[in-house]
Amino acid sequence: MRVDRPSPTLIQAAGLAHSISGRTVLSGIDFAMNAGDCVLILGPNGAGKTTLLKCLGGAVRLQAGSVIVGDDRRHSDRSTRRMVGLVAHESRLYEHLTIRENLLFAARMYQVRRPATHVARMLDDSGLVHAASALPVHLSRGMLRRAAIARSLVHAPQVWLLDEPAAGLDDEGCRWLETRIRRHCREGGCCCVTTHRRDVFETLRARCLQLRQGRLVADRRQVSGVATSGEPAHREVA
Amino acid sequence: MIRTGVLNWWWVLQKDLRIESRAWRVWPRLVALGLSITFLFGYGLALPPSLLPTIAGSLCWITVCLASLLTLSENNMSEKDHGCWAALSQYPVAPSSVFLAKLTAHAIGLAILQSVVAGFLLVLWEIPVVSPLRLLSVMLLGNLALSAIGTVVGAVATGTRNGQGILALVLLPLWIPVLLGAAKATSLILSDEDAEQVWRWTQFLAACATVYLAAGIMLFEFAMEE
Repeated sequence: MRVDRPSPTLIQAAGLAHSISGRTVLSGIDFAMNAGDCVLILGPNGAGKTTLLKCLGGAVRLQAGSVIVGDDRRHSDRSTRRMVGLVAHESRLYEHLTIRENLLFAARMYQVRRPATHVARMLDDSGLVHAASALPVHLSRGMLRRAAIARSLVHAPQVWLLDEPAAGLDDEGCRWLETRIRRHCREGGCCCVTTHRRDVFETLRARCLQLRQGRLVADRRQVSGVATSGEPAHREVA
Repeated sequence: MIRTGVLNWWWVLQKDLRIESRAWRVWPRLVALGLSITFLFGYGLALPPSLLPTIAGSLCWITVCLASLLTLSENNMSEKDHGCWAALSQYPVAPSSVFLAKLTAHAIGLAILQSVVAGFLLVLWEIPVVSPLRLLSVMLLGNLALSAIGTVVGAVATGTRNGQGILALVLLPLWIPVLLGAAKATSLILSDEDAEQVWRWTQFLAACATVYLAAGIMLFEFAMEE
């Protein structure tokens, strides 16, 4: 008889709250992701999606609550930063370094073993081989986005935090990203994506969290595609 | 752990030097500003020859201070663009490695400026250097102290909106003791006066450099926060 073991929790937030200049951006966020989970965070502009990802990724100092990455380790610890990859709005690429040099620098900062080989594989995987020697300024927006994603995930983190990753990507780029996310989750990682466009990630069949004014107001499972009105159809999973 | 720290220091420094060699953002400005100030003062002031060694010491450090202040904000511009500073602060590396790399890059720029300015003044005013080693040690210690605190305050300014405004306000009071000691020691060396006094000022500079270096290593983690 086969016994299903529960997937290990990779990241867990409890009682997260954050204010910027006296304005509450996040409040009372409790949320966890297990190995294999894919979560879409939805919400209008200013809902707190980016701040939530920054809190989870250790990009801002926590004001209230806690984030635990992996085995009870504080997310602010340097060792846990290797477990998390945060794709931000900005490319975070140095404009006077080539794409390969940018990735190589990030790989070295993350103490990746055999960084040159690893970066060559990342470039191939991201469809950036022909652009490896180009400066970021010479790339199209879509290619720049791919390079930014490759830079953020160069250390093969278990927890992916992607902030509007599809911005600037064409259909093929979106499919590439979806495939990578699906493969990562299948291999035991987890992924949290903020997006305005649910339709882009419809085939992921992800868990959808709705953020409104800094609060989680809904937690649903995406079960089907885009409805005729253009609004994706979702059904709450008991 | 030390090996990792040294490697991280080298990777960050190598990246900064590579960017500077391609962008020419800081060093040409430093040298151009330094030479302009020295040239204006050097030719503009009709000074008696006996005063030249004394003035040369002060002028050299005033030039270094002004040129450094005006270009310090440029130092971290490549980091600020496209959110690279945020990425740098999130890498799992010791902030002290990043601090020492940034300090080294800034100190290299200042050393180039010092060589050009001091060389120009010594040739222009025909001042003989009797104790080149002493002069070199004063230049190095002064450079180290100015770069250490400049790197920390520069990092705060990079991580803060409109942070450039605070640079001069915060830096100048912290730089004044170093500039005072360095100018005094340089003038005494160039005038070939009182070796005992030179030694005291050199010790003072070494103390300043040590304190600022230690403070930088401890505070840089907080200075990197946005």
